[in-house]
Amino acid sequence: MPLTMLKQGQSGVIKELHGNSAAVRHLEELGFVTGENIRVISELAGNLIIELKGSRLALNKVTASRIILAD
Amino acid sequence: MEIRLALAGNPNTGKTTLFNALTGSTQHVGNWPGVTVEKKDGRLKSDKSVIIEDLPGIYSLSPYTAEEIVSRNYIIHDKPDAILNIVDATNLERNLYLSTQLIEVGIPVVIALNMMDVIRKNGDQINTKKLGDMLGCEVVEISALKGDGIQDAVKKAIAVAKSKKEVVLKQKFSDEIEAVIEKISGIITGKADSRSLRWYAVKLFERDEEIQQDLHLHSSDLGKIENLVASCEETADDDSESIITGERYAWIASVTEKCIHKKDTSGMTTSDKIDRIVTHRILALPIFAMIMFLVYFISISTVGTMATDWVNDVLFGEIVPTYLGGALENLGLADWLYGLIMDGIVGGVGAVLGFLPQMLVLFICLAILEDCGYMARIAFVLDRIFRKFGLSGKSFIPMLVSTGCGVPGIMASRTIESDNDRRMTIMTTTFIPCGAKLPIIALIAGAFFPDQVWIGPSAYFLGIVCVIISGIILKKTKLFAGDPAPFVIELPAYHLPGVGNVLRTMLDRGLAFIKKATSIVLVSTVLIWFLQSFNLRFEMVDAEESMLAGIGKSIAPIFAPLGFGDWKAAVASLTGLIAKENLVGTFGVLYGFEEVAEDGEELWATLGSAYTPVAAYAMMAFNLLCVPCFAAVGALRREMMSGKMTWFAVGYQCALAYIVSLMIYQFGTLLTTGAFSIGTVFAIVCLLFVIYLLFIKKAYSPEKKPKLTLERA
Ligand SMILES: Nc1nc2c(ncn2[C@@H]2O[C@H](COP(=O)(O)OP(=O)(O)OP(=O)(O)O)[C@@H](O)[C@H]2O)c(=O)[nH]1
Ligand SMILES: [Mg+2]
Repeated sequence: MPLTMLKQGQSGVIKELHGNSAAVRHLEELGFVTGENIRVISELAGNLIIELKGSRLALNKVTASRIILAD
Repeated sequence: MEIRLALAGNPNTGKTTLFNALTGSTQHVGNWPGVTVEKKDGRLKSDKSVIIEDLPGIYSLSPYTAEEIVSRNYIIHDKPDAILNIVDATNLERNLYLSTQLIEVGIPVVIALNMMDVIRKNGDQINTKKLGDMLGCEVVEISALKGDGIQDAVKKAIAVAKSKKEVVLKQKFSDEIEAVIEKISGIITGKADSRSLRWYAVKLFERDEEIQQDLHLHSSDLGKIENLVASCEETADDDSESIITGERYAWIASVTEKCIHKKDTSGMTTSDKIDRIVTHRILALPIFAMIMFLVYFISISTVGTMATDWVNDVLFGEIVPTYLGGALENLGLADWLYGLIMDGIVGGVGAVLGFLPQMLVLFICLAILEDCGYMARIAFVLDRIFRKFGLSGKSFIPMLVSTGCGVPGIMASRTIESDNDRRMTIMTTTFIPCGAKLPIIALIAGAFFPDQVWIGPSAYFLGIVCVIISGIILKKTKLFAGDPAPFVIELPAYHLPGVGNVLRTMLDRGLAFIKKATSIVLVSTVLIWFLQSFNLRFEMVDAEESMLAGIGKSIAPIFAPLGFGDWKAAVASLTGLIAKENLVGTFGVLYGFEEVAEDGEELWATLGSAYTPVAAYAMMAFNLLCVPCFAAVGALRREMMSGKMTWFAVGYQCALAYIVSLMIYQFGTLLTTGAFSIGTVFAIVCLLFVIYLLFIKKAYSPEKKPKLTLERA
């Protein structure tokens, strides 16, 4: 299921990333690697603020939909 | 012997703060990722033989955006003697990802754990010694902001630079990968710098195209490497880049687990709570509009004005004319020299400097905005809206930087990933009024709209509207078609802006303004004074018969439909191209000179009666939107890296400024006086044309183009 499905306060574990290779690469280097825990801090019309490895990142909806979580 | 130290690290970790503290420079510091976009060198205050290089922040040694390439190239090709890796201790895991790569390069590395003040305040604990042992390099605790430990960090970096000791990263990949990297190292031995052999091997494993080209490898070697990588990928069922990234992060997690003891982080931090409000679905935009309104209101209509009034009315209105004028009269100077000094220099440069207080207040407001952490949030909030118009929220950061000055604003667009977005941002970011345009706004607001506070903020929002309109129109053309890149931005924790930092930024920008006023603006006003005092036979004449009037009259008709078709406004707009403050300086010379000698307070009154308020607003709009100053066009040319695109941008800016200003004047006049003329018809035609471009024209879509994006899981 994509990250967009998480509600405020929920968390999940990254399974894989979709998208073109440059964008995927960039996301991985920012720490979006398989097995990593993500928590949604707040949500704004599908755009998210998340916690990853103890820091805060903001993603838009398209990017969030490319991050697939383990069920 | 000179020693070169590079400050490298993730974005927003405090590299520039440290650089300023060590070298005494005043480079731009701000609380968002991507403040520094160019490398800058300076010399260590306590030892001039040490050169320190401040680099743009990077997340890894595989660059993603333009400014990251600068850092990678410096580290890989220019090879500093040592790297001082600035690590944000509050964000250790994600920062060490870069550290492992820096150590791999083989240049001596010292890690400076920055923001230790925050760590201590939070009550977290980091075992620095153990961290250093596990990574294989020295780790020093510092606080760049407070100045703690920074001398020690530099000393250690100088020591490792001198010792030239080989550094070896203690991290190992899984056995299969290590075996392949070993084989790749064997293939490239002798072809790459031996210190960095492992780093090159890993990069080749990741199929880094730039490195493949850099090393000029024989195609048979490349083939061998490709086979090794491909077989590895097959066993792991993953691509090589992901394997490396995954293993690196896994190893880092195992290190941080042993070295850092953090308090529970599962709750909401203060920053999270603030974010709930400022990024709120409904409140976010009103809050942003409110903040920008306040910035302009405070600097143009309140604090700034009081000070500016004093400078204009008392300092340049009474004190300088009385004392300087009296002194000059006593000297018995020739008439022309007296005119040059009093009407030209005092009238022109004085008019510009009169706005200094308002600018200083603006600079303070901007410095606070930049240092508190709001910039990244507003990029995020606006992404949702900008995306509808084909721009990414990241375009907004250059626009906020442009509020200070267009040149760094244009350069800040380097952090935008997509080329089309970046070019569009470069073209439109100067629609946002910069500091140098503030005097124009304040002048128009003061002379034509006294007591109306909306003028200043309206100039700002006019800029944003023009950016959005341009976004929609340009996205439909072939040049700019394409979706904006995915949006990800790190949100730094909010913090109270440092008083020192804010004041330093203000002083720095204020000084730059004074320098400009006493150089470019001075020369321009002297030239204007000369041209408006003499005719072609070099006889001193009335301004109406001067050379300047001749020049102005020949271009004035162009501006007639915009409501300011007299030669003075035409000339002023022209001089604004050199520096926007010139506009005010020119008006100071042309409208001020009779008054200055008699009654300074009336300086702007004559100007106020020369145009209608609508015409004045149209004139302001034209000058704000039209081609920025020469310096900004130069920056635009450098960033576009294309003469053709530069001309296109300049042409577009002129056309847009003309059309917007035409509509403001014509419709404004129609509404206020009911006068309908041929100009009104033109304005209606323009309006229809804009509506067509915005809503009816079809977007360009690349047909029958093979799909190039690679899908991968
Ligand atoms: N609390 C605290 N804040 C710091 C410290 N060092 C820097 N900062 C703040 O961190 C923010 C970023 O500082 P910069 O020096 O601009 O960071 P940078 O690494 O140059 O950032 P980029 O140029 O974007 O890569 C600023 O708001 C600084 O005030 C520190 O030791 N402690
Ligand atoms: Mg910096």
